[in-house]
Amino acid sequence: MHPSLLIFASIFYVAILFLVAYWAERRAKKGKSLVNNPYIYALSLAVYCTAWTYYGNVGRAATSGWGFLPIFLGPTIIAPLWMIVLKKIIIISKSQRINSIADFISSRYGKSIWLGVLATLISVFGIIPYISIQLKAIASTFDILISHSSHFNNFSHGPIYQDTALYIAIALVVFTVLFGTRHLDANERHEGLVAAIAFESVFKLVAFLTAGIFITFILHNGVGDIFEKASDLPIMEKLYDLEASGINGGTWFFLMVLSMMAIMFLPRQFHVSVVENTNSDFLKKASWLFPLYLFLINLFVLPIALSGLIQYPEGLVNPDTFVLSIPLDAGKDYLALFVALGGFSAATSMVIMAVIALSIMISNNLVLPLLIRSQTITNPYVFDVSKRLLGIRRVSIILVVLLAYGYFKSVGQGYTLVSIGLISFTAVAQFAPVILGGIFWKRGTKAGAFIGLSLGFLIWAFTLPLPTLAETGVIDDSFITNGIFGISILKPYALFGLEGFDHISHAVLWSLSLNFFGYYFGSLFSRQDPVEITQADYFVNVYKYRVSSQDFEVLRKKARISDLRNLTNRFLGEKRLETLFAVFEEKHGLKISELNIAPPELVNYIETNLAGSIGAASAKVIINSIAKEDPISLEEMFRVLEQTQEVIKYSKQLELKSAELEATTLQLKIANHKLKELDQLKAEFITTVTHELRTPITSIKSLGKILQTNPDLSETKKGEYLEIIVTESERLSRLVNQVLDLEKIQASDKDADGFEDIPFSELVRRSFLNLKQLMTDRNIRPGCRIMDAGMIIRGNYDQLTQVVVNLISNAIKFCPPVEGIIEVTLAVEGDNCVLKVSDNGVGIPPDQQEKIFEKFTQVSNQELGKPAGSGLGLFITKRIIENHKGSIEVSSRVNFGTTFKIILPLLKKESISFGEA
Amino acid sequence: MTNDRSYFIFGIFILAILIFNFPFLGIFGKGKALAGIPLLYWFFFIAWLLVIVGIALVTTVHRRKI
Amino acid sequence: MENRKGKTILIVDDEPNIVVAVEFLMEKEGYNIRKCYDGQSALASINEVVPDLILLDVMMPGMDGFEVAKKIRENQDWENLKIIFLTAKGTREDKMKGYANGGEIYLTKPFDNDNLVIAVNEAIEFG
Repeated sequence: MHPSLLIFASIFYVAILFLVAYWAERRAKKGKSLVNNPYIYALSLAVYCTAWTYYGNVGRAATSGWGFLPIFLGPTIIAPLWMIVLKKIIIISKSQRINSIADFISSRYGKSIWLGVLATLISVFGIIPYISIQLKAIASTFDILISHSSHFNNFSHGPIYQDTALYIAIALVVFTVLFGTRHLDANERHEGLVAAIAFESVFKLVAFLTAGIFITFILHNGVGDIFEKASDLPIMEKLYDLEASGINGGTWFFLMVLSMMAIMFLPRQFHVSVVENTNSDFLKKASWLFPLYLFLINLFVLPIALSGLIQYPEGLVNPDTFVLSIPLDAGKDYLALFVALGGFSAATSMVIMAVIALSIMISNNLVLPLLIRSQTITNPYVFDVSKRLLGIRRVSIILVVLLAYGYFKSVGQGYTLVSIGLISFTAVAQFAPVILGGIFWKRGTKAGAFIGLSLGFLIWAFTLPLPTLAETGVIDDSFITNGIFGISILKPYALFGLEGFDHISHAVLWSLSLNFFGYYFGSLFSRQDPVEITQADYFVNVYKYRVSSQDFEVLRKKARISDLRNLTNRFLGEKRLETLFAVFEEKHGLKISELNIAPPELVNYIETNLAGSIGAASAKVIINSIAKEDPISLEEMFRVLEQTQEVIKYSKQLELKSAELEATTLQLKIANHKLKELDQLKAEFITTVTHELRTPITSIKSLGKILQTNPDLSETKKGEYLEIIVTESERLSRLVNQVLDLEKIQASDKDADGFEDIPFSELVRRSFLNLKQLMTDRNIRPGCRIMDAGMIIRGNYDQLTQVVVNLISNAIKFCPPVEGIIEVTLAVEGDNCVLKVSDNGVGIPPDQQEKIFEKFTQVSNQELGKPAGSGLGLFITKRIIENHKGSIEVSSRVNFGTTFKIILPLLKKESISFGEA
Repeated sequence: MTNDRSYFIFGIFILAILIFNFPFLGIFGKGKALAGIPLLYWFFFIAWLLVIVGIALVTTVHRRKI
Repeated sequence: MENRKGKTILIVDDEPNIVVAVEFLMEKEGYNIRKCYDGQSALASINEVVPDLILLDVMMPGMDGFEVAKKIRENQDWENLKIIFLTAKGTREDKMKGYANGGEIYLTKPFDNDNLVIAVNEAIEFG
């Protein structure tokens, strides 16, 4: 085939790519996005299928049978979990403006600069070999087409390929720069590129299926025919029995795990599935469409491999080129060209995407943070970052492709496509612990992530890429057999004495397990700073933040508006600045121009948007250079963030509160009860007083009227009635006086004014004599025994008289109508004089004995009948006694009688005697 | 996402891991053929297709119909 | 006036001075008078001689007026006995309680002499 035809076809193909990309960007600008649907999304994920898939699969199948398959079964198996894992990563990345896997890791662990740098280095070193094999594939296939003599060709040596590969590398750089770095997008989305990638996915699938169908059904009579023809080949044994092909359960499983990680954490996969994603719901369709794509592209791998083995003598043709060689040797030049373009599309799509993903990382997580650290970004004379950023991107694209080219020149030619690809897979699998831990385990710390990643990276470098450099003669290879520095346990293929595994399984086992334990224990033994805690909570509980509010912010940063404006201008440009400010003003309803100091919401908003362009760590550094953070203690931090802890604490407080409330309620109830009781007492008192007032008034009024209307009454009657009127009037005034007394006593509590020495014995005797007639009238047998006639106490004569009269009157009232007995006893007991007044009346029930001394209380129930008196007597009595520093007690048995006992302090005794008692 | 769906997602994930790994794979790797094609070939591609159908059902069907 | 002759009124009150006044008013109207100073003895008195009308105080030692009325109403033989409460308890509740226990009329103290006489006369004459 003439080279010009190939060159023309390639240029034509690239032109179509340009057209697709351009058309998609035009549509995107008009708002009719081409890529905003699950089918394009699923196709863009097929960037997973590279030249490795396209050529390498057949080569792998031809040498090791089923060994090619786990790399495609793995993504299929993990695809359903995308709905959980990838969806969460997408949601986090969208809200945090994360645009690369390094940014994701850096952002999760406290926006750490050094983690971003480390992740970038792992990605770059891990992916460069991978890119190099794409260059190799394109170069070698082009050579096959041009030389047309694949039989005799060993394409690893010879000056012409080197040129082919270089030109291809340059062409790829141009295309990537043109579509990947046209402008600095806040979300780092490239609709044109994604459309081109999706187109390439369709193209490579169609090309490969065409080759497969041609080989299987035109050259041969179907799959069964090929297997029959191949039945004598040694490879057949491997196809019937997995173990015979040297595949054991461990290798098979490790390859599957590797590919599960790779499909999510390869930088280009992360870029198309997360950064370029427009709707996380697309994952639903993609999670079965993408495995279907893998299924189709693997369907003819074995038939093609067997066909090649049947056709070519062993070792004559590199099995990696069977897909191309077979149609070529069948004389189908145009079919071969079509197939080669399919392989070209598989390789270019991978290179473009990988290089863009890497360039974003290099500029945002490697160059910028270091640049910012070394310079004062607030100094306006330094440089215009927004323009510089694109420059940095372009330079890093060139750098990455050149590095890949260098690797291809020095190392890549000696290895198969698959073996080099697996080295890259193992490298990116190192991200799994820190990312999966990062989104499901809040406790994961920056230190743990750093330890884990470093360990994994070092072991990976030592066990996989380092030996490849040695084996191709770049460095001395003695350490492979002797161990590094001659230490026998440090052999790269038998680390710590572990033997019997293939190189990849061995490397995966050591790097991932040490990575995991480094991360796990490193996290357990380190603490998180406030930024880490904020980010960890956001990443793990992103759904919580989504529900509550879009602007999450715990750290409250403040900055001068002018600084913020300057800085945003420098990094995002005038236009973006104005748009951002306008959106913010709209949302929060304030005028930024009227402000002097930017509120924390604005600072965070700008930081998030900056992060979209320059990465989280850089954005943090830049913002911190102009912002003051309100100091926030770890305790406060935890209080804000630990939602669960908060809830527990809250519910505990609630419990406490409700207990308090219950206690208060109880107190209130008691108080209320007392009040009610008091209220009732008062009502009862008023009723009683009214009743007591009405009774004398009734007789006075009635008899008065009788006297008035019956002038002819006999004198005796008149005298009798008048006497009653006088008595009742006295009763009435007594009652009124008692009420007044009460007021007086209450007002003059503990008032010792007007106290004098009182001959108490004499006072008791007189009071008793005054009431003696009344008692006799009521058929009561009175008794009075005064043991000592000369008792003197200090006090108020009238008040003490009232006490004695009250007690005796009470006794009279409660005495039975017949055979009543009243005993009054006065005696000296120690320094006190004791007065006892006893009756044999109805008695007072025990539960009422305490109450009777309270104001308004009357002993009133059916048994005891009509309450005697106003309900004030005993209350007044008690008050008076207390004013005299004495005490009053009652003892009573229902139906047997009551005894009131008054104890008053004795002042002195005088030898006085009196006649009768 | 409903919890129901999560259960099915994990179910199909674990099922796929089991059938595409040893020792289960060993059952088909015993030199047998069907229509001249190794049994493993049939198994891999049929099982693969079934898993894909399973994922499609789990992720796209909204509510389980009983 | 004729049919008042021979009619007996029982006055029940623990306040003797009130009994004196009521007794005078009733005697002047020509009724036969019986007197009691508590509920228990009132029932005993009714048992002895059934009066035509009872003027009943409420607040008394021992059995109160409401209970006396209730006891009276429980006895079929005394269904023609009219009950007039004459009491210082003047709340609505007390009145309702009085009527509920079988009182015909409820008068509060201090009463008007003429009103009392009219009430008693009407109760005797028209039932």
